Amino acid sequence: MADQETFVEDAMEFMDGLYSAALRMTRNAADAEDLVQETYLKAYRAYGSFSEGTNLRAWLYRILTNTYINRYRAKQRRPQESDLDEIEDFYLYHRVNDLEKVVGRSAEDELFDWFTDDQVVAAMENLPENFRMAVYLADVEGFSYKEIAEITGVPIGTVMSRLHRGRKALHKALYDYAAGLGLVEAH
Amino acid sequence: MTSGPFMDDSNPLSREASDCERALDRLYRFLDDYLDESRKAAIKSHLDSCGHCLEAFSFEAELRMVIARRAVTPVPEDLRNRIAEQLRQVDL
Repeated sequence: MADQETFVEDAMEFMDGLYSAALRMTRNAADAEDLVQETYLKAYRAYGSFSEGTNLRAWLYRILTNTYINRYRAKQRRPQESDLDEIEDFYLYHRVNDLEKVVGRSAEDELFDWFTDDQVVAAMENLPENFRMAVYLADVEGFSYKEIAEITGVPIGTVMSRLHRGRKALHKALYDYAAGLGLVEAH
Repeated sequence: MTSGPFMDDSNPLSREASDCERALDRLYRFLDDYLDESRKAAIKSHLDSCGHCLEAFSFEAELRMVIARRAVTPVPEDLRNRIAEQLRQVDL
């Protein structure tokens, strides 16, 4: 049994990540703040039933995700999974050579300059929801396939499939921003 | 016909894949730490001898770090305070 009194010291440190996740899911600050607040309140009330030794961080993300799905998702336009085009593997990597021809030096060194923070956020927020959550949880928060499966309530195979397609779409969007900067000719 | 990262290892056809194809096929499972020790070791040893694949792996790993660093938005300080205050007032 976990003790509510330890909740604040145990759980508050995860708020930055939870807030970023909430922002990426809801795509607006007011809803994200409400979502994080509700998540902490629910977690605090339920903390007595949280079994110590299990992953507190993953547990909090699960509450966040469930709360989001129940409360906010209905409000949002929901792109379907079929909205993602079929994109070749390693889309961005395969175009690095093109970039190198244009910038005349190792394009990989320039990776940081290809796109702005806002463009990374926009590229991620434009992913269909299920892909966005999987990619955020894996690539930003570093959760394992198994943890993401538990947080989002789908089988591991589905997580892997969403990651596979979501990452390709994200990387293509980032490439398109780079192309938009005139660094490379759009293909 | 499945291809890409979800190739079934039990499929005899996939055993004919070259070392490079197999390494690239497993790239994300490698970066995601979802391979058993022997497959991880096989990829590491392939990367030691294949500059082309090493470049691809490094690129994808670095790209992910760039994305991770840029996709995080710090929580507003007043939200943090509001939540802490709210938890102090909750009746259990």
